[in-house]
Amino acid sequence: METIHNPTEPGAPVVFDNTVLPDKIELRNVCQSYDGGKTFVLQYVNLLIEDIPKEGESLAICGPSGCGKSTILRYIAGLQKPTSGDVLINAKPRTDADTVGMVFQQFSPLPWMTVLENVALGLEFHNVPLKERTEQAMEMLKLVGLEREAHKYAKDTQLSGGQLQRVALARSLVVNPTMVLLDEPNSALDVNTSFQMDLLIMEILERVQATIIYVTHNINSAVLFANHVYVMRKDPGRIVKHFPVPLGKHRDRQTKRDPLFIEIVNQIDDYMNSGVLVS
Amino acid sequence: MSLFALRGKLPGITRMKIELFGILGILIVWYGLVATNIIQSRILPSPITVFTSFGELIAGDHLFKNLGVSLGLNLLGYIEAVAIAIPLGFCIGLFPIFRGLFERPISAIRGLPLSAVLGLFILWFGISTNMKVQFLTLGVLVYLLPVVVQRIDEVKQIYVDTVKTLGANRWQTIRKVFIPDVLSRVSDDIRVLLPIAWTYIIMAEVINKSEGGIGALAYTAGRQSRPDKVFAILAMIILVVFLQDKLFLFLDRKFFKHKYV
Repeated sequence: METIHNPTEPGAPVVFDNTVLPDKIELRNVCQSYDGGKTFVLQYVNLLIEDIPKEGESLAICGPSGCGKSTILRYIAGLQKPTSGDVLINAKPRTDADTVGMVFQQFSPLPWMTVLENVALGLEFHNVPLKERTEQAMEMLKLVGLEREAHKYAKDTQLSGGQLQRVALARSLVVNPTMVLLDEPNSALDVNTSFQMDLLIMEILERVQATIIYVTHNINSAVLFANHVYVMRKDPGRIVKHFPVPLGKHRDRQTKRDPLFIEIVNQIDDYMNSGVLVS
Repeated sequence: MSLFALRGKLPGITRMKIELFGILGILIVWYGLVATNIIQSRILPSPITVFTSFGELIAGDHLFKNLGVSLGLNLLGYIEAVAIAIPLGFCIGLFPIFRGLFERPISAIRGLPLSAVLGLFILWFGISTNMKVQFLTLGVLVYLLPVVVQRIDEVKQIYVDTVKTLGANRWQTIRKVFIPDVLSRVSDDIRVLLPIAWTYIIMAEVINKSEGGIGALAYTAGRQSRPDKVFAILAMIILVVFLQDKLFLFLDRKFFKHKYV
């Protein structure tokens, strides 16, 4: 995996050569500004995520509220375009054809549909026949432990917050995406449910060969989950630090007791609380 | 459960008892006012007189036939208004070109007192049933159309973003997000507009009373100094609106089950 994380001073773009790398997501000098370019939310953000063949890749982005973490995911998901700079998927500008699996902070299952209909939705958009998509959606629901809830409406009077996020996770994975974007999926959950959700995500994502980007303010979750943690600062938002996480591919409940895990968490925590993240 | 708890809800039986007590209370006060001659019966007939006048209305004034005429107008006007408001509202709410073209003119029309338009409608459509239907259509439309647009604005962006990440095209987004979400809420608005629709029916039926209708009947009864009949007709309208409301609620529960779980 190769990464570039703002080797330049604020206000200066990076000069790129035109080397084409396969299976990668790349942000080049991405800026988000308003007031006609006077105020920057994000300034010259550069990030290269190169997929490891047959394994996928996972990285986490941490940082204070308002630093633009979620905005980066929205660029990659195609939900928003930067004011300037390029978002490249496999060396080409992102298009609507590059579909991704995404789980949002807010509960996103469509409440007028059942859990099963929600999970099968992406397959329906890709014209998978009804019988086939129902079978695939049921399989995915079994994976997230929601097969008994398949015919309930996907709303908060029927399902808990954790269950709703599991519906969203199943829905994002059923289309077998090459990229999975997780935008603080635990932020509305209590501590226990949040940890269970992390374990579930890890267990499931071990089975898919996808590039996974996890935005979170929880350092423990980030280190537990990712091979690389990027830290952002705000005003303007930029990636300022990269922490490799050499904890191996398989991680579980015990990983949190690994001395290396604890050390990396402490390193990131110290860095984030050293006052460098705010101007 | 305290009867004065803030935003409290009464248990079923207690609520029914209190509701019944409220209605009986009104009837007793009403009866008392007339019986003690505080208000003269030519101004406010007693509840008993109102109740007995139903017999005359049914036998002599063809109450149910006139009610049928009004319900027919109500149905036609409503169907036409909904058939225009929903597709037009979706166009205005979803596409900036239509919003630019129509939003301000519609807001302007909304401020018009519709009774002032009645004369124009007579000029355009004559004094037949068609004029009454078109008048009611306009009356419902000017309220319903901005509501449909507002409901589209209220669709959570998270749902639109979600289906986009799942690969939905524009039509699939409309079909899977906007249509079910907006219709499930507009159905409540359609229900709430029912009493307003009746206001316009009554107004329109005063024109060319020979065509009948419950509004024409109430107007004639008033002219004949029969307030008992007028009150009986008003009670009948309240009953009909109540039943229509229940019917709409039944349909709402049938078509939008997710709202009730």
